[in-house]
Formats: sequence, C-alpha cells, structure tokens
Amino acid sequence: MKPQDFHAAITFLSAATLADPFLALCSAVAWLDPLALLDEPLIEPDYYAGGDEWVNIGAAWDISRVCFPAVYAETTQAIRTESSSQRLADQVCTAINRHLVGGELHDLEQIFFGIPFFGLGVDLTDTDFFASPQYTPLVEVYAWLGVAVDPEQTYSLPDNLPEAAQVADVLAFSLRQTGHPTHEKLAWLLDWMFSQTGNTAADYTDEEIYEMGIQPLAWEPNELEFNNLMHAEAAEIIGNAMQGLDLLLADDGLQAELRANVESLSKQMKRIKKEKPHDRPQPDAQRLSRSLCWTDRPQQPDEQRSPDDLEGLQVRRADAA
Amino acid sequence: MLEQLIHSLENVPPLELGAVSLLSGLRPPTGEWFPTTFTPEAKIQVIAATVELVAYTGRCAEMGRRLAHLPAIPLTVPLMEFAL
Repeated sequence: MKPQDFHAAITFLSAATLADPFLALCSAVAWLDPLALLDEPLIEPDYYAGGDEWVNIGAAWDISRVCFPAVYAETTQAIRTESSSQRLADQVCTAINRHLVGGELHDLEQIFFGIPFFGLGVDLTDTDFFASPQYTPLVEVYAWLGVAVDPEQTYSLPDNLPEAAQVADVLAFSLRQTGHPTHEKLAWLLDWMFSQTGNTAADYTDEEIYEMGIQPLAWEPNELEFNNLMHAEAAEIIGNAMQGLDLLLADDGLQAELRANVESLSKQMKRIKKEKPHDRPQPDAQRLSRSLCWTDRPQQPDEQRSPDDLEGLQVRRADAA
Repeated sequence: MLEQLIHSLENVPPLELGAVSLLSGLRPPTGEWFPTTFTPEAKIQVIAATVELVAYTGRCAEMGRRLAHLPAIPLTVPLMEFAL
C-alpha cells in the first residue's frame, strides 16, 4: 500500500465514523470522555504511590471527572500533548485549587488524602498565632474576659477558659438581641474567640482536627460542596469577627460596656453556680442577658452589610457545619 | 403497552451532542484521529462539550444500571405448564 492510499483509507474511515451516529458518538467519547469506558476507577482511591506523578495525575483525572468536569476536560487534552509529568501534575493541581474554597492542594500527591481541610480556629496554645500582628490585640480582649494569654508562653489552655466561654456565649446572645451591626460583629468575635460559632472550620485548628481523628471528606460532589460552603461561611464569620475586633478597639465606650457586662455576668454566673452547681448557663442566656446593657452605636461607614445579610448568617449559625 | 413504549421511544428527538459536531468540525484532514491543537475559542467549546458529554455518559450509565435491575413483572397470561 502506498502512503497516499493509506492516508486516503484513514480519511475515508474518519468520514465514515462521523457519518454514522453510533460510531460518531463512540469517537466523541474516546476523544473527550475516555474514562467513561472504565467500569472501575483508573486509580483506586486508597492506592498511594508517593512520588509517582503519573499515578497522582491518574487519580486526579479520575476525581476531576466526578468533581471538576472542566478540569477533567483540560486534563484529558493535556495528557495527549504534555510529556512532562511534573508540569502536567502542577497544571492539574492548580486547576483543582481554583475550585477549592478555604484550602488548597500544595502538591497533587495530597489528592489521596481527601479534600484538604484548613482549621481557622483560634489556637490559644500556639505562640506564633498571637505573634501575628492582626491577632495580637486578641490578647487584650481575652484579658477583659478574664482569660490570661501570655503570647510568649502559651503551651496550655488557661484553667478558667470554660467559664469565660460561658460568659462569652451569653454576651454574644445579648449582643445579637440588640440587632445592631456593630454588636452583631462583636458577637461573632466572641463566638470565634471561644470556638462557639458552630462552624467546624472556624472553631477548630488543624491540630485539634487531627487530634480529634476527624477524617478529611471524600472527593465526592456533595462533600465538596459542603466543604466549600463550610469554608466560605468560616471566612465570612472570621471576616465579621475581625471587623468586630477593629470596631471594639476603636471604641472606648464599647470596651467599657463590654468589661462592665463581663463583670456583672461573671458575678451572676458564679452565684448561679454556687446555688445550682449542675445547672448549665445556656438555658439561662435569655434571662441573664436581660441585665446587660449595650448602647446603640453610630453606623460605621464600612458597614455595608444589610440586616438581611446578617440575618442569613445568623440563621446559618444554628445549623453550621 | 409494548406498542406504546415503542411508539414513545421512536418519537424521542435525537440528542444533539456538542462533542460530535465539534469533532466533525475540528478533526484535522491530515489523518490524525483526534484534534489536539485548539484556538482559545475552540478550547472553551471543547471544555463545554466535555462537561455535556460527561453528564450524558453518566446518565446513560445510570440508565443501564436501572435497566439491569428492573423488577420482575408478573404475567397475566395463565401458564399452567410453568409449575411443571
């Protein structure tokens, strides 16, 4: 057969496959969705090959088909043209990271360990945490709530942390009752400082998640959606908390009110504890908050959030991750 | 009942998959089976066509699984010999 005959045969076959609907579909599937033809995953999810980039790419290709179809499309094409496994692995890793909220894969090898989870909680035992300039002012706020945090030596949790957390919980409840945006943000600050937001990502640190034995979520669309939602909500909560911190630090009157309310509440709760040692403060939050006083504050220019938005966050707090 | 099913299936309009028309348009005349180089516009079309095709093959696989596990339908025709 002459080369031109061979070429003519291929052209004929190509035209014939596209003319027949079934063969055209088969060709399209082989071109764009070759993994559809497999009954089993290309790489088993529990197979871990360490530094073998092609295995990592295979696993990511499989996962992308289910979780990130656009990444799957790009990977399918790139596999045919890219010869460098390292470069391809980096491309796939970057593409997947574009679809993750709150965390990222540092290396494609991490794909075998489930959806990356990043705890954003306050770490009272980590000296580096309070060394960060944005978090250093928290030490002062903890002190107002009776919690002594030494930024130089925070290796263990302060003894009175549970009591202070109970006080903070009632304060947050009371602040939300006012409906004022500044108070709302201060409530989120208190919730975040004492790991009481109800959102796992906002309440726990990576170390705590590891120590509790919480497994990363599997690469499945619903788990991915949940993880992204949880991290987006955590970012929103912490954003509000940090705004609350700024507002608190800039307002001497609010600081004085907070300290006065902490003192009043601590006394009340100590008295209750003496009278009813087994009573939980949570059911009493409504009653205890009646004695607290918060003055309406002028609206801050950066308070763009509407009351409806804050209400949405409040509703989510009830069933946060 | 069977005739009704056949009639319904025959009247299902053919599905136009973007992947098939894209393959017709992009397949190079030089003998390569699959197109591998794309303009930025074609790349966007390829991604959209892949997303559509993955959803389609997923629906087909799901339908195949359901058909493979259809429950038995009792016949109304008396077959006395069946017990034998």
